[in-house]
Amino acid sequence: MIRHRTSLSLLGLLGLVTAFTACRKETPEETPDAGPDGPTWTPTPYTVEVPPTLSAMPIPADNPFTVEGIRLGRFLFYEERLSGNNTQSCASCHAPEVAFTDHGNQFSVGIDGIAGNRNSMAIQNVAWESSYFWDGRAATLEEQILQPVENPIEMHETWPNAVAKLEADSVYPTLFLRAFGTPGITKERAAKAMAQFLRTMISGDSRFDKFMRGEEQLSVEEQLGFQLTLLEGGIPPAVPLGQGGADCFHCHPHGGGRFTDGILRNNGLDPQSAWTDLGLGGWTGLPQDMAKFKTPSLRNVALSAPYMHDGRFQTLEEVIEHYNSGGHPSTTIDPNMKFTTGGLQLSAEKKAQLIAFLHTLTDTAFVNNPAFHDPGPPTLE
Amino acid sequence: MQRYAPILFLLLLVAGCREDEPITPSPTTGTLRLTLVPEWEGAPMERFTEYRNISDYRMTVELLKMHLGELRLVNNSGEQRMAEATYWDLGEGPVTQAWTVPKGTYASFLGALGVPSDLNYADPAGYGPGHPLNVSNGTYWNWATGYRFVMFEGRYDPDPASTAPLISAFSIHTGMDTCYTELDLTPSSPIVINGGGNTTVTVRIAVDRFFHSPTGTIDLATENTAHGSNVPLALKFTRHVKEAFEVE
Repeated sequence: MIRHRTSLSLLGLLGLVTAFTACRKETPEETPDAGPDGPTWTPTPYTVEVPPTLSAMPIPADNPFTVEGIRLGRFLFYEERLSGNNTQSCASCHAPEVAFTDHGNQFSVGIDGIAGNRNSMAIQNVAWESSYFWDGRAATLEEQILQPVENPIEMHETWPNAVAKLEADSVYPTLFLRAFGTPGITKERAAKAMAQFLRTMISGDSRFDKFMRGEEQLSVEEQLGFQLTLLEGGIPPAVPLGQGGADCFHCHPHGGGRFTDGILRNNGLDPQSAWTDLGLGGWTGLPQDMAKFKTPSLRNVALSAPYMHDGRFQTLEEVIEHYNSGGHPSTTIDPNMKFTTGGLQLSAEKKAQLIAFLHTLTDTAFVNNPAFHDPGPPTLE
Repeated sequence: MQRYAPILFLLLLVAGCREDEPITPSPTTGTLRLTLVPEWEGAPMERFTEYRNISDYRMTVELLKMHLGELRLVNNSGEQRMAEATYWDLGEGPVTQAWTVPKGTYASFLGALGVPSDLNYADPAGYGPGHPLNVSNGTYWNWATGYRFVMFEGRYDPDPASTAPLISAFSIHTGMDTCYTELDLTPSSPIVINGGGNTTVTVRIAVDRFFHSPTGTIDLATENTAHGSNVPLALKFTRHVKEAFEVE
């Protein structure tokens, strides 16, 4: 009887074990052992830490963070073999110390010595963007990343060539395997890995962030500058309900922590008759899109000179003077540029306060974060 | 007991491996769909199309966004709240949103134009991706004013005879508790929600009526900007928008 019970117990246990193991999802090997389809790897999920002043990060379902993906993306961001003559990487025009812009250059010069016509954009908090490039022509970060490599005035390489160079490397095949679980180097995988890395580049620890968290005080001048960004422009009685402010908040809202709403706008830089770079309208062809460019974040703006899509302004003073003047009216100027006649009439004192505030958005912890700097040649460990 | 052991074994094997059953619509709930249809004088409103408003001004609409709050169905049993905050970008035409609600017959469909105060003044960083109050929708103003309830922007020219491009812009945004306004979205007959079924309520928004109502007219030549400080215009505009809602 006891024997029978033992047999039954064993049988039940066997049933449980069988039921459990039969249902378990296939899991790849954790070491790159060769199997029928080649080696496999289980990428390690990574949870990104978002500062409290920013909202939760949108992460594409088809490109979740992994430790290995971010690591590969960092190597690729600094990889000069992605360019036609192996001399330029993404980082060549997006250097950490200047908020990942191009060393103060108005235009970046590609491998063939040809300059572009747009200023290198700062890279920060890109996960929250809904379009990329100054003209918004890329809908996703992954799509954006693919373009500079093949742009003839930038890195001037073909993706098949770039992939071949990575395949010939002794380390990259394994880095791709570890990042994506199976062997294979493709441009899509390269873009995904770089996108993962770029999405980790979060700026949310400036003096302003610390002020918002109650960790640091801003000077009176800086706080007055912040207030000016939140106030309507115009001065009564000429503008009856004007608040004497700088009118920044419509396009550069501080709420959500990004200091941009990401919308493409014409901010009145040129008279309509002088439009040359058509921005959004250049690729949509729609009259209502002409001369519209992406609204950049104000974060780290003190580091990212020169300014505007064409880098026409060298200093923040020039930028503020542009908005103070009101800009040029046109058929596409943003409705929030309300003072094309008369301007904002900001006093010199208010301009200084605005600039003082803008400097509080410099995030030295971000630009100095070694996790975003050149990791050197690719290695497995 | 012994004789049941193989059966138990098989049951464990089969039951343990069974895929989750597909979720079938519950017979006790149905789907309520709300469709907002922006129109200009009875036809679909199109951005960047030149219209004439009540003042015979030439004008275009470039942006129309709004938040509706506290959407709820009411019957004798009480309220069924669908959403405390919703976001509608009507620039590209009609938009539909849907909610699962208990089946039944509802006498009223109520809501509000705007964002309820408690949500309006909360930290926007707390509203994640996909939330109607996520800042990526571009409706957040600042901590003092919260969200813009209605954003209405475009261009105009007071000269009806002119053929020149439209240059002058209007930008009317409402917000803050003073502009939070109840809406009655009840159709002419009660809303019937059948178990597993779909019921659609269509609301036509007569954008041309944003400029006039029985109580007044908005003259874009002088009333073209409301960004928080122009409360009288924001309130007048809010009244007009409310009256422009026509439930089918």
